[in-house]
Amino acid sequence: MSKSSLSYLIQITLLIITMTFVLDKVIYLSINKISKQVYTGQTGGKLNQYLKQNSDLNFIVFGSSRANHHIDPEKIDSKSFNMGMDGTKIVYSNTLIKLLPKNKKQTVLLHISPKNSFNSEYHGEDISKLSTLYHQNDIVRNEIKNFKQNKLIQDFFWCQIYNNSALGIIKNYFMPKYDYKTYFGFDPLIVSKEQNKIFSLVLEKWKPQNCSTNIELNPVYKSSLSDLKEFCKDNNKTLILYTSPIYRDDCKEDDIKLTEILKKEGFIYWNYSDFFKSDNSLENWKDNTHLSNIGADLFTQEIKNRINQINETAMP
Amino acid sequence: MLFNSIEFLIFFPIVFILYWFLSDRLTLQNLLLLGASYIFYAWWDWRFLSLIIISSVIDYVAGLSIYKAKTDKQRKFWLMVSLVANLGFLSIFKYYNFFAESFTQAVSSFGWQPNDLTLSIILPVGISFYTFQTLSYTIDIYRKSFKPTTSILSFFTYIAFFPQLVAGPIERASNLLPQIEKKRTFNKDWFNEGILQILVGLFRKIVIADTLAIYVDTIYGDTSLYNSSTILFATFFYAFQIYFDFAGYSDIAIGTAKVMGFKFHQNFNLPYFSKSLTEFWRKWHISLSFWLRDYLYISLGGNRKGIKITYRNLMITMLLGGLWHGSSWNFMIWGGIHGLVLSIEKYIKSNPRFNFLNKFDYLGYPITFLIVLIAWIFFRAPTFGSATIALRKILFFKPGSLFIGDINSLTTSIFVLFLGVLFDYYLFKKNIQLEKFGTHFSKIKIAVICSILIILINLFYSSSNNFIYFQF
Repeated sequence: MSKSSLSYLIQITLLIITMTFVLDKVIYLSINKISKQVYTGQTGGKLNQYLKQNSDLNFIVFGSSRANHHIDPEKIDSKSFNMGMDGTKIVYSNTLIKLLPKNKKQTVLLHISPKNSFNSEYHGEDISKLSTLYHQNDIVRNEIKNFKQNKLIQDFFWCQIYNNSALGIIKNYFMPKYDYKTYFGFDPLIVSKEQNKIFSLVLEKWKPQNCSTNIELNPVYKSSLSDLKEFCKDNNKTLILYTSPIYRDDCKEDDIKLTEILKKEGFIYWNYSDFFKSDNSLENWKDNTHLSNIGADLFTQEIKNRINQINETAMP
Repeated sequence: MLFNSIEFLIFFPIVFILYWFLSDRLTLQNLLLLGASYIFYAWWDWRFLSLIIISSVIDYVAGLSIYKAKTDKQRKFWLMVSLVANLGFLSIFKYYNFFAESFTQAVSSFGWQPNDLTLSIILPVGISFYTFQTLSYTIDIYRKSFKPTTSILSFFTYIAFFPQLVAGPIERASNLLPQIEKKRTFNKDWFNEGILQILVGLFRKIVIADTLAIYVDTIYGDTSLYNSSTILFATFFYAFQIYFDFAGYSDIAIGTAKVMGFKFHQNFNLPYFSKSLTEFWRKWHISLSFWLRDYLYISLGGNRKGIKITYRNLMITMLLGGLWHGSSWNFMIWGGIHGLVLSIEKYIKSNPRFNFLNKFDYLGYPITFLIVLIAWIFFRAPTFGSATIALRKILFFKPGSLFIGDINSLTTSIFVLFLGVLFDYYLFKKNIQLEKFGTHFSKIKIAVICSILIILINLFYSSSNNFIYFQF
């Protein structure tokens, strides 16, 4: 290669790297600035609202979509919030719980799925859903590193943390979905006729699942539960674990085993898998694991009664 | 190794630096390319490397033997050796189970229940591509349109050259082999064009195609669950998913080769901007369609033996073209639809009665797209049953509300698809080939465009899926 070609190659490489570095930081800082003012939407606004309000809350729900769409916290406590988030598991919730204020008395209701608890393939990948806080929050950054979800490339490309959320953030900045001051984090699923039809067809074609015979608690779940227990004990939080209703559950062994483990460890655990067994009307459901708004109303009422019982027992 | 993997991000710069470091030593440079190509392939499964080596040995010997043969009989013999060996490998690995299953089903309809004849066979990645490449080499020598190389290193490098090894473009020996055998010099324009094409290809693949795949995979997972609007929408998405997936792969391949001083032929030229299916096939997977034209259609007689034979040849070519994509009846039907429409177009074009249609040629764009869209149903649906369900729902359209799924993902899909189509429309309007897009750009302009593309990729990339054409 000639000297001039080599020089060109070096120049263009350096130019591309420098411009990408600068542009990346400009984009990152711009989205970051916008993002901090967004309090609506699942792509970041809900998390901002939680971080802003969590020190005033008495009752908080955590977990996956089965927490988010199933419990209306407003009906349980006027100072409450549902921080359930689609596609998340225990590590995501555990990290958010660690961001709660120290020593303030609060009730934490955390959804736990028996199926996920025994899934050996889970390694805490859901923590990456908090990556927007990677450069802003030490606890989150440490957890992301702890579960090896920090990509080397992310240290160079900061804007990568807004991967697939940038559009949502910008949209919610200019056109907020709702007034966050009246939002409690609960997103009911209003089921259309089309969705109901799809679920009926799925049930018609249902093939029973093969249940695993080797059920061992996932190590990430094990350590997260232990962390949670310690944090809640040290910081005046009442921790309640629960499992949401499921329309058709072919594998019961994992429910039994999880109940055993949690009881042994001294957790309060409510398994509501079969809550609708006596009246399994399709109008309560969107799909096999998600309740409709109608089902969620009934389930919220049950949770409310149970929480009240605990509160009454705890009263001096 | 995938182009969109971290491994390739490390592998390629190392190869690139070493490659240009050896620019004054052609043999060493080609050795490096061959070694790198074998590592690239072995990353997926080293065992199948032997298949490429065996195929290369056979065709190297066959090529020289055809050239040196003194009689036609000898020439034919060596051509047959090459055809039987290459098509034999392809038949065993790709088609054995399909024919065994079809045979079992056929005889069971007569009441005979034979034992299960299928075997547990892994399909070697890229076998369809390098088989066609090696075949073109021996056929060209047999037709006396190309002289074989005596350099075993050059030939082996030609077969295994990593940018095009696993999913094309199917480069003919007449184009690539002379480039391997002569000294390459670094060319600034080619570097600019190549680097831009690589990044555009990456954007097309990991941003557009992979994002669209989320919706398409959900709907085509079970077509019986969704209504007409949803199936149509998913098929529309699929048309663009497969285009951006494969065109994206070709862009990365062509760009990668170009920055190393190799010029591949264009493989996609904005195919959805076509006024007829004939034009579509001049713009879609060009290296395959020209291969089928030159080695199958023309070998069958092309259009030289009368109109009826021409229709037959078109149908055979497209049916086999369909089968090349995969061993299932769905691919044959896909090829059949294309063959049928190509024949109809040929009939219309050869008949002066239909000249009045020229006035409405602008309607050719939507009609061609619609035909291609319908045919894609058979290409995408996992079974014949699910394809017919999808087709019925589209043809007997009953309006209904669209299945949204994850709203965030759907919004991103529409946004990135809009960007992709807008860029293609720009190229179409300005009559620019993507291969030439970076020509004459200043250093600054190249760097700005590259950094914008890199940032867009970071902001919108979707989780990595295999390239669709790997399965072929």
